[in-house]
Amino acid sequence: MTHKANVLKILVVEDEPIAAMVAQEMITQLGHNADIATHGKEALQKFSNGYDLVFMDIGLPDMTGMRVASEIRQREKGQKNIPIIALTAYTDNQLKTACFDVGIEEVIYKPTTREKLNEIISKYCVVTVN
Amino acid sequence: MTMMSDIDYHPSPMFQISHELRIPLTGIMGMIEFLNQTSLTSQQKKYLEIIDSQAKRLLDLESKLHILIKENKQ
Repeated sequence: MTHKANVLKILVVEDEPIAAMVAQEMITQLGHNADIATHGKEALQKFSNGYDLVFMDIGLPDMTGMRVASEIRQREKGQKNIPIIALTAYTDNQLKTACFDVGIEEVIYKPTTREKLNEIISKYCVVTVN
Repeated sequence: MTMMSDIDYHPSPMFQISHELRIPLTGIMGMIEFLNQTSLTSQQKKYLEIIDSQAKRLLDLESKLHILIKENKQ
């Protein structure tokens, strides 16, 4: 009997088009679906679609990724938390602390690799393999 | 409890520079990874290996910059 691998729905919040394309391509190669939101407001609108995981850039045009995460956590009150992973090019340790304070699970840095994204996805989501 | 000021972020100029280095490197190293997945001639592979090594060198430079930032703060 063969098992079909599950396809996860992942939201990538990223304003830089190339960075978004790289993340989307890597996620697609891993067998999952990646939606892109290019700013905080769009991310919050799309959030109600229901995702398995969010990769969150910090430097967005309209608000920080922390603000988006904070808003998501408020909307989730009492319900299951969606894993939010910061995917940022800001390597400031103080930023890391601020991320954890708003309920971001982990902070990883750009540039990243498909392998790293797979590691994160496997860590926070249930992934069945063929 | 998060203060409102924690939700906003104002990176220092040094962290902005570090950020500005990492952004194009994201594109470059992403493309290197994707190119490596295509069928390449041995000559193309050789050229790509060089691009990869130089990109890693830039990323290494950024790490050194990060250390300098931390030392400068003390």
